[in-house]
Amino acid sequence: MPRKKSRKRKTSRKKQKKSFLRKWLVKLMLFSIVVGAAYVAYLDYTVQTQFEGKRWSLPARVYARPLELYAGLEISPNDLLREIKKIGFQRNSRLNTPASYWQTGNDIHLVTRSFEFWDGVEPAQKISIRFNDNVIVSLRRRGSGADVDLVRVEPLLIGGIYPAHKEDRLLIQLKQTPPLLVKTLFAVEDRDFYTHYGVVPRSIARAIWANLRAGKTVQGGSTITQQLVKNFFLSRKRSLVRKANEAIMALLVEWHYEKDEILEAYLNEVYLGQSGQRAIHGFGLASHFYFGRRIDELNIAQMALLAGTIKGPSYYDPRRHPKRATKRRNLVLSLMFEQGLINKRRYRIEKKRSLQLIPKPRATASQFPAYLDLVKRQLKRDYRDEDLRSEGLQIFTNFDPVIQRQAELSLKRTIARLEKQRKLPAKKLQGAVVVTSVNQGEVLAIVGGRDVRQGGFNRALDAVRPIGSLIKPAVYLEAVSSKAFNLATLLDDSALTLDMGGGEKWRPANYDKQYHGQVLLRDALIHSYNVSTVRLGQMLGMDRIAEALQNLGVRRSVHRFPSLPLGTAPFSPVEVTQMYQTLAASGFRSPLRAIREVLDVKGKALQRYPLTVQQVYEPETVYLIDATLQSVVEEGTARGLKNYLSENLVVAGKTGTTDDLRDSWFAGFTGSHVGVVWLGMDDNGVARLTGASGAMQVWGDLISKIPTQSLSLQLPADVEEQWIDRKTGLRGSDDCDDALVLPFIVGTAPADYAECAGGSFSRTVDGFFNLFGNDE
Amino acid sequence: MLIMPLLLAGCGSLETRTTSAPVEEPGQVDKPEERITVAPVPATRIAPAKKPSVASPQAGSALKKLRLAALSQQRSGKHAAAAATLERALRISPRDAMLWHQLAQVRLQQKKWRLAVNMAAKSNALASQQPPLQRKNWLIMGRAYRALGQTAKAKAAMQRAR
Repeated sequence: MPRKKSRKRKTSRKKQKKSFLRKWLVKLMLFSIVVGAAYVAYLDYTVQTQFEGKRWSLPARVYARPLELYAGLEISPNDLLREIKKIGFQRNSRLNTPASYWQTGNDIHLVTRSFEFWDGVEPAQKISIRFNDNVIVSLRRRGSGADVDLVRVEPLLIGGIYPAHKEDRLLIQLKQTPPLLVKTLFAVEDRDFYTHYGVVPRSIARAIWANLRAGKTVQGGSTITQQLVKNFFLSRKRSLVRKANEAIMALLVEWHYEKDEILEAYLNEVYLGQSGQRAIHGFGLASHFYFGRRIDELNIAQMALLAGTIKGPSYYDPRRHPKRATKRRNLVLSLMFEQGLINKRRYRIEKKRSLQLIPKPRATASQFPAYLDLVKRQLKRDYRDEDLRSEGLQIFTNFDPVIQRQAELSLKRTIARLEKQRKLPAKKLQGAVVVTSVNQGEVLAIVGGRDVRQGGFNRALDAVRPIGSLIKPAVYLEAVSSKAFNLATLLDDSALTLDMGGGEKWRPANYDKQYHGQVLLRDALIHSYNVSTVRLGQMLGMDRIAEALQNLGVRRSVHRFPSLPLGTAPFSPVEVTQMYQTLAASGFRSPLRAIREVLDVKGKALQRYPLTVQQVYEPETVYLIDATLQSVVEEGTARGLKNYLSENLVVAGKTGTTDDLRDSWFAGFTGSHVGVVWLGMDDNGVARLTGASGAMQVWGDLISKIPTQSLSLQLPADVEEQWIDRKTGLRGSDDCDDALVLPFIVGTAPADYAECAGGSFSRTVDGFFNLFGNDE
Repeated sequence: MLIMPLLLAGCGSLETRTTSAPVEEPGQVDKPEERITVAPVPATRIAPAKKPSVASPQAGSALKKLRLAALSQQRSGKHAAAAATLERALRISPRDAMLWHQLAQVRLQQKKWRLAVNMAAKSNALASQQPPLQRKNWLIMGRAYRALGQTAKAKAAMQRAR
C-alpha cells in the first residue's frame, strides 16, 4: 500500500511536475509573445518616428554673391573662368552639357544651369561673352545671337555650418533622380526591390552559403530596405541580433511605407565617401563631391561609378584607388549591359571613359573661415545655433570671390616681402583685411590672418588694437562740422605740455620729432601731425570726438583722455571699416552686412537683410574731409601709393601707426570699395612697421588688382572752392608763392586776403610773426 | 522644429553681445511677403542714360531691365522684391541717383518713413546736377516727414520740392 501509495504518489508527482512544467511553458510562451510583441512595437515606434519626423540634420549652406554678367561689367576672363570652374563648370567644346564652358579668342561661352534664387528661378541659358581686355563688351544668346541684358550665374558654395556628427547631404527627390541610375542601383544592390517584402530569405541563404564556403563574409544579401534600416537605426557592428533586428525593422518599414518612399530615403541616406571629418551621404551630394555635377546631369559611366561605390566607399574611393574604382565601375557597366539597361555600343563607349573626377573639394568647413565667421555671428542674432546646423538653411551672402582672392594674395605676398626685407622674426607678423562696397556697406571680403585657410582667431573681427591716426578723420570731421573750423583754419603745432593731474605731464610729439608751427587744418590731417591734433581735440572736447565715432558707426565706447584724438582707443579692423564706409559714402552710414537672404531648405525665403542708409553728416561736411583724405594720397603720408596705383585711379585714405611701431594700419576708399588693413603681432610685440611701410603696401597691392572705380568726388552745391595762402590761411591767389585751392562750405571761407593776393599788409605781417613766434 | 527668427522677439538690449562684429540693426529685415518671379521685361534696346553715372554706359540695358522689373514689382505691391531688384541694380551702378530715388519710393510705399527720407537724401547727394530729380526727392521727404508728424521739416521739404 504504502508502495502503491508511493507509486501513486510518484505518478501524481510526475503529473504534477508535468502540468507545472506545461504551465510554466505556457507562461513563458505568453511572456515571450508579450515581450516579443512589445519589442516589435518598440521597433515599430522607432521606425515610424524616424521615418515621419525630420530624418536628417542638414547643414546650412553658405553661398557667395551670384555673379551678374552684363555688357559693361569689369572682370578679367581669368577671374570669370576661375569662379565658374569652382562652381563646377566643365570645359566642353561642344557645349552640350549643363554647366559647361569653352573659350575661343576673346570669347567665353557658357551653358548655365537654372538656379532658384529667393526672388525666382534664373533659367538655364546658353550665352557667349565677349571681352575687351577686362571688360565684357557683349553678351549674346548662342544660336540666335540676340543681345542678353543680364545673366545671374548660380552662386559659388563657400561653406557650410555643420551638425556635430559632420554628416553632410544634399537632399534629392526620387523624381530628380535619373531612372537609369535607379535601375543600375537595383541591378547592383537589390534586383527584386519592387517585389520583395523587405527581406529576401533566398538571398540571405545564398549569402550565408557563400560566406560559409569562403570562410568569411563576402556577401551581404541585404535588400535596399535592410541597408536603409541598418544605416538609419543600427550600429555598424555585425552580429546575429543586429541582423534579426534589421530583418524585423525592414519588414516593418515595408509594411508602413511605399516602395518609392523607401527608395528616396535610401538615395539620400546611403554613405558614399569621406572628406576629412565630413561624411558624404546620399547621391545628391556625392554627384557634386565626385563630379561637380547635379544628379540629373550625370552620364552613364558616372552613374555606374556611384552605384559601384556603395559597396565600399573607402575601398573603392575613386580618388585614392582609381584602378580599383575603374574595375568596379566597369563591372557595374557590364551588369547594366547584361540586364539590358544599355546596349553593347554604349557599354563599350562608357567603359573607355576616364573616371571624370573633379579635384577633391577641401575638407574644411570653409575655405574662407574668416568670412564664414562673420556670417555666423550675424546669423546668430536671428537664428538658434541648432537650427543653423540642422535645418538645411540656404544663406546668400555678399562674399565676392574675386576680391577675396586678391585680398588673400596681397596680404600673404606683402607679409612675405616685409619679413624678408626687414628681417622680421619668421611667421610672427600677422594681418587682417576687410573690403566692403562704399554705398551699401556690403562686406565683400575678409581675411582673418596670414594663414588664410585657418580658422581660429579672426583678427578682422577680434584683433582690437589702438587705431592711431586712423581716428583723425573723425576728429577733423567733427571740427569742420561745428562750422567753427574750416580746412584753412590755422592750427598750432608747436610744443605742448598737458597736465594730466597728479603732477603727471604729457608732451605729445609728432612722428618726425619736429614741431611745425602754424599749419592749415587740412595740412595737419594730411601730414598726420599729432601735436596740432591734440590741441584741436582739446578745443572740441573728448565727448564730441566720441560722438563723432558713434555717428560714423563705431559702437564700442572709448576713453576720454586727451590722447583720444591720436587713436589710443582700440578698435577692430571691421569697426574701422564701418567708420570709413560712412566717410566714403558722404556721411550716409550703412551697417556692414555679410548676408543678403536666408532661405529654408525648400527655397522659401525666410528673411532678407535689406540695404539701409542713415544720414549722419551733411554731404558737404564729409566732402571736405574726403577731399582732404584724397590729398593724403596725393601729397601726404600715403604718397607711396603711387608705386601701386595707376594715375587714373583716384583714391583717398589714411595711414595709422601706434606707439613703438606695434600696429600698422591703413584705411582707404575708391569710388566703389572701402578697404581696411591691419598688420601687427598677436602678442602686441613691435612690428617695426608704420602705416605706410606696412598696411598701406597691402592695400595698394590689393586695390591695384581688383576691378574698382576711381573716386570722383562731386562738388556739392553748397561747397565753393577758393584760393588760400598757405602761410597765413587767408584768401590767396595764384600770385602767392604757396597757395592752394581748397573747398569751403559756402560762407565759411576766410574773408580777408593775404598780402600776396592784395590783402592788407598788417594782417599778413601779423600772420608772419605768429608763424615765426611759434616755430622753434 | 522650424526656424525661430528671434529677431522680432528680442531686441538689442536683452542680448549679451560677445562680438564686436557689426550686425544688422534689429528690425531692419524685410519679411518677404510672397515668392516672386522676376517680371518679364520687353527686350528693347534703350537709349543711353542721360545723366552722368559712374557705371559703364554699356551697363544701360542691364540697368533698364532691372529698373523696369522693379517698377512692375512695385505696381503689384511686391515691395520687398522691388527693393531687392533695385539693390541688384545699385550693385551695377551704386552712384545712380535715379535708383536711390526709386528705392526711396518703395520705402515710402511701405510706410518705412525714416528709410524713405534717408534714401531720398542719398539720392539728392548724388543728384547735384539733376534739379528735377532733387525736387522729386524733396517731395518724398516731405511726405515722409508729414507722416512722421515732423511738420516743420515736412513744410521745408515741400518748399524745396516746388
